[in-house]
Amino acid sequence: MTRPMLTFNDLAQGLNKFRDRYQAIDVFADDVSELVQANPTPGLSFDPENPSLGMFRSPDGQAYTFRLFPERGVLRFSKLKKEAPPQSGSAVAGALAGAAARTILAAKNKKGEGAAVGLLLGLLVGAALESDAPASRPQRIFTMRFDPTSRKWLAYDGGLVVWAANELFVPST
Amino acid sequence: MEGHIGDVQRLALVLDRTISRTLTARSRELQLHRKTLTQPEDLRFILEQEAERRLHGDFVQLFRWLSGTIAPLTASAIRELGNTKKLLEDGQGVAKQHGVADSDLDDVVSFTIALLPRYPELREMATGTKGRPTALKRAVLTIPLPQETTS
Repeated sequence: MTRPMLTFNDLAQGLNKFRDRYQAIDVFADDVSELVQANPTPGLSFDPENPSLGMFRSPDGQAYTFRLFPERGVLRFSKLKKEAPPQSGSAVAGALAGAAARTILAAKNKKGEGAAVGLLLGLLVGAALESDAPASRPQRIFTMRFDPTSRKWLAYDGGLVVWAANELFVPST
Repeated sequence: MEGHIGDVQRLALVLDRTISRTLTARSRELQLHRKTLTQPEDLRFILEQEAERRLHGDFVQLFRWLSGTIAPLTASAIRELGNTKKLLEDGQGVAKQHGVADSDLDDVVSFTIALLPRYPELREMATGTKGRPTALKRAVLTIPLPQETTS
């Protein structure tokens, strides 16, 4: 049986759960089907100069950017602020392969054989608690799990909430 | 005379223990200041320090909710939420205003309700919590939000 996975469209849905309250959603890279399968995907392109960065345009025309954190096993997905020229989707597989493979492996290693396997977790990342605080200060987050049956993101406060927040959260720099 | 010396010795012992406990508590507080909180007892300790009294309620659930909404969850982050004494007082007032049952009203409920206007996500957390409804969950879901925040 194929394990449920996230798509870039699911990440867009999660990011918009609280409208503009959060700037990004962090997920484990090995949960994202387009990365794992490394097939050309309509709307998906990459930064030729930095294979850890990419772009996604959802069917509704909204543009998003994503960044891989190979050492953390995390993919950060956020709305694109500045429009970039579209790249060829067919080049995605080759260009992303190295960075994506490293990130996916790191994610799998983090999860190990524990309870996180099979859970699709996501973390919304927002602003610092104090608007004028430096980036290293505590930030608003929101832990979620994706329900593959309803294909909706739900609040997550289960037993792995502390682990998920620690492992998925990449502090803003 | 010997009785007086005994009294002084006992008093010195009590004073010594009190100072020792105060220093231990202070040391723990300093350690927790920047460290990510890893257990509900740490959260309870910090809030009790701020409130200057013993607090009651479901700290396990509150710890999970705050761990899922603030990163890193440190003593500093807790303090940035506001003055704990005032939050407890305000939350209690709002809870009574909206008819939260007296049997459900404790310090954690008051504190959480006071955070709701700035952290409506806590209500979302309460909605998503599995298992039997707790006093905290019931109370949080009793308080209406000014407007829908989710899509």
